[in-house]
Amino acid sequence: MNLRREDLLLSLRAVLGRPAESLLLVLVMALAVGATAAGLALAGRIAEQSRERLASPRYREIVVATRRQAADMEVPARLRSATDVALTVDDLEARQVVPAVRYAYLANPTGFPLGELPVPKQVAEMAVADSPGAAEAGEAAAAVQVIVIPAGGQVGTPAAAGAPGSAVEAAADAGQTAAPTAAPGDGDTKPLADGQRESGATPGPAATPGDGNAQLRFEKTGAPGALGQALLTTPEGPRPQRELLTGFQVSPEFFAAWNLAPAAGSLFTAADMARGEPILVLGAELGATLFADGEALDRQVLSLNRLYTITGVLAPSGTEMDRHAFTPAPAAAQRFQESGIRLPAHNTSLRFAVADPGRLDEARAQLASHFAAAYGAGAVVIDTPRAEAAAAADRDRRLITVTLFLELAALAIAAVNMTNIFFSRARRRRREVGILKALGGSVGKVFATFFAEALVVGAAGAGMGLGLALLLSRLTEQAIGFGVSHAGLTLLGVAAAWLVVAACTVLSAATAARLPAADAIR
Amino acid sequence: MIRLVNIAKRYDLGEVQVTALDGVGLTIERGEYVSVMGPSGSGKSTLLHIVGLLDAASEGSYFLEEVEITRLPDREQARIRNRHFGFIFQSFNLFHELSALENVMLPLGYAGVRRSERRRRADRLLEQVGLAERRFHLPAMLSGGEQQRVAVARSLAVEPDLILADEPTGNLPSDRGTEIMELLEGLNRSGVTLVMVTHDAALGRRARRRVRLLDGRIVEDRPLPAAPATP
Repeated sequence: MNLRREDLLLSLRAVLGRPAESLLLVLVMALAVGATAAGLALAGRIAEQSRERLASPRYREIVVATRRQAADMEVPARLRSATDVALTVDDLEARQVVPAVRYAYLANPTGFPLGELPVPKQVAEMAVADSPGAAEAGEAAAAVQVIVIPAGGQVGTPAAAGAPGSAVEAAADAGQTAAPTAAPGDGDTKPLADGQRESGATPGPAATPGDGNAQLRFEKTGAPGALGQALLTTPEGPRPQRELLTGFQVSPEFFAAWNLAPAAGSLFTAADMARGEPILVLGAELGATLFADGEALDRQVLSLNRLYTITGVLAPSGTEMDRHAFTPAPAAAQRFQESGIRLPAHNTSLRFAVADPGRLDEARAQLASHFAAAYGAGAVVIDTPRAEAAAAADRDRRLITVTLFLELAALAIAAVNMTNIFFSRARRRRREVGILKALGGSVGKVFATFFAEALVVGAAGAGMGLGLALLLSRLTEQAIGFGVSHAGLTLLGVAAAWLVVAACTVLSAATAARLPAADAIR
Repeated sequence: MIRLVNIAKRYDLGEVQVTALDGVGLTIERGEYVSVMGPSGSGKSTLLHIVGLLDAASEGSYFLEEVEITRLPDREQARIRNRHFGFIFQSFNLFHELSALENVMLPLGYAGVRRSERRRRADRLLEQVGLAERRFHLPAMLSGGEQQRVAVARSLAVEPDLILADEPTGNLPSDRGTEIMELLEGLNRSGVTLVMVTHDAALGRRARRRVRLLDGRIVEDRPLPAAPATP
């Protein structure tokens, strides 16, 4: 379009000359652009999330569990007593009969309550009464109780500090009933939801640190009988901000299946599993959160009644695993290998990951056949989480269809309205068509002049629509909990809406330009 | 030179066909001053529109400088309108969104004249028609006579060979009408061909030649004696 300044002025002033009508046009255009861009961004984001979800290693897994475990796959498998079959780490050997399986591992969800001790409140309070500075601090200090953990991992009250003794012993000394001394993952410990993980505790005044001692600080929460929130720190180190770490008991292949590599330290080996060492590997994000100085290796974390040594920190993977801690899954079954005894306490769920998700069904059938032959039909339940994810993806596709339909409907309504307004504008300005032609305007030049008007309105509407799209994206994000701000798709939506509206205005501009000059001027 | 041969113009109004021009033949030489007269509906404006390439004849041929231009493509016809013809209308037909200066510059833009040159020429033309001081005024701020003078300046912007004026003084008081006519006749004296449609007999008599139409046919085409000099 070879438009001169006068043509552009004509178009611009024609727009400004009818402010109400032009504003209406701009608003309709903005709504069209806003709805299209936001809808497209939302649909794109849903599709992207769906793809991302399906790409997760979780959805390449086949989970094999005993019948009762299958009722709740996310609960640590060993907690459920098996009825007649106990699956152990040995059963991972089933991979040998399933060519599609690339990895076979254990990954039982578990939790690590930081600093939790089998010490009831009264013992902790007794410790405070004996702690240095408590008398001066009076009531205020009584709210903060301190237990000193001597180097070497022995736990006790300050009174007992220096005198070796376990936490259980300290409790027993106080004549109190000790809390259950379950291993991590034992008991009904469920991973807390994200919102629950963050500790609200603020570090109180530190007790006098002993050389090499770790200090355990309790702060009262006010709940009767509650131990309160616990924070563990070392004399020179940072203070963990979480009271419960969530994570998994895993076998070494888990890391390969999830493509997790150590950034510092090392991962577990089969030997670590066999020894049942209390060691921890932290996810990248968790490591950075717990130890801001980046010195997590070889530090110890107290959980329940065990001191876990951090032997590795993972490199960021961009998955949920960045937020978790990992400890070797108990491989006790191996101890009974020779005798062939399988204890229900060692029952676990097994995970087999395929390289090609397209072969999941095939692998699942082979595993089913294998376990049916080994333990009898129906003894184990085999589940593929991908089936659920695929159902969710299917739901997402329907949601995308609805979203796109609504978006296209909004765009069509806007386009029809704009076309009508532009047609009525062109009819009103037919005399101008005649004059332009009399002055030497060809059909093309007159079209360009009228189309420029649509461009002016379109540009204003697109700008406003982009703002609206960003606002809608923000609202959607707040409403459904995931971000839909997708710059590329938003701009694509703006362009698409603008093109559709432009196509409609082309019609009115072309009709105007084709008016016979004599008719237009009459 | 313009030569119309057996021009007819018919409009289809549903089942009825209206004949606006019927077998019109007309030759206009360079520098002529022709008035086209006739009652309403006689086909005067239709003839002017066909001569100005604003409308296409249903039948017949149109030669401009012995080149038939009847069936030229739109772009070529637009170029001829722009370079060779200047139009003046009864209702001025200025763009109300543009100033007097911008109105005059508009046809120069279609002629591909550079902006600085457009501005220079438009300034000069507005000065010629006595509106130099009002160049930045919008048409709504000008009187009828001033608006028509802007229209005259606009029609002269590309230095046309032929000025086609349709009732140029129809909307003006008589003194302003005379001013405009003197302006146009001055142009004619400088060599520009002037074809003026009017139903005003007095105005028609100012021309050198009068063509009278009735029911789409030329019923009179004769030279007129020179008009008495204006005091």
